[in-house]
Amino acid sequence: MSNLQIVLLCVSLLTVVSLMLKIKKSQFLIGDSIFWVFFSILIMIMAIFPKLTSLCSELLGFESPSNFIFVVFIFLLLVKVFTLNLGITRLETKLQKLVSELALKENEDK
Amino acid sequence: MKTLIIIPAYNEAQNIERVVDNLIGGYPQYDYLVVNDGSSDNTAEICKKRGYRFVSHPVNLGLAGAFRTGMMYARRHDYDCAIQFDGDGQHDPAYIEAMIMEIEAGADIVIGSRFVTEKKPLTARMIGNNLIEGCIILTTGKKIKDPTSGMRMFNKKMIKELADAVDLGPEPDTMALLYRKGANIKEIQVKINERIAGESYLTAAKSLNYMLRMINSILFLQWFRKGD
Repeated sequence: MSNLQIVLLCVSLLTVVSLMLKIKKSQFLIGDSIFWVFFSILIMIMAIFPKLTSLCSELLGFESPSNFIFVVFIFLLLVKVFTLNLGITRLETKLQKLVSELALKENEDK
Repeated sequence: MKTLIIIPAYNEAQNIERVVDNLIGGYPQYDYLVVNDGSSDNTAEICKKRGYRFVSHPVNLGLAGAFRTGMMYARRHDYDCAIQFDGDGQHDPAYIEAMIMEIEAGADIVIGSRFVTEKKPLTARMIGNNLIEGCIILTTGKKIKDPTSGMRMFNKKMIKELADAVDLGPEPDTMALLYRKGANIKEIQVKINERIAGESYLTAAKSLNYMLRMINSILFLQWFRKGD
């Protein structure tokens, strides 16, 4: 087993363990965990089947499998940041509406 | 015309009494509403003590949020027109009558403009003003001589639009978007006073960020926004 495989395996296990701990303490919504479950399964596959990783990396024209892994990670993170941004916008819109409503309601009660 | 003067106020304790007393004393024909935007000073206490008509945000939302609360209020109380008015005394209520006349004559939005008959001076801030004006001409083909003026009056149709919208703040890009959607925008010459006390929403450090946001919004993002 190469060093890279061991690192990937550790990362995968760490992700799963932290996710489980957070879910146990109800600090993570089940719906939000899909991304991280998928993420750790993907890393695990990369660690267990290095041939598969090498094949993909060669097919896509990467010089080395580690470069391919970097790119996959960066892509996944970008997707996550984008969806997080969407979520924040949704929250902001709702917050603004709530604050306005609250202010106006208080005025009516006076 | 039932007219509402919306006064967004964020930490305006030093100014708010002077501004509102001036309105109450000199212009009782208009209604006003102070929107206290989660001020950390005693703006809210002053309004309460003096018996002003005001609403209070429990947290600070920023100018766009305060503006929208005002528009929602205008909509619910069925005002014919609403004007965005500075809480720091920069705007002179003497011009409101002329603006209402434009609304009566069919304008959807009336801007209290510094540069209808006056020439624009060549300062850093006005170069920014010119740049935004240029972007609006480029995308709408129409000229707004003072797009960054904060003194704007809206008719009933616009009040509804602004109260319901998600992201239509009191900024030049909103003017451009509404222009493109067919709003009739008029400008009248006004004089805008210097701030007497307190801090502006738009500090020098935020100006560059503001310009980039406006240019991005007017030139690029406008085409993807919801239109009629």
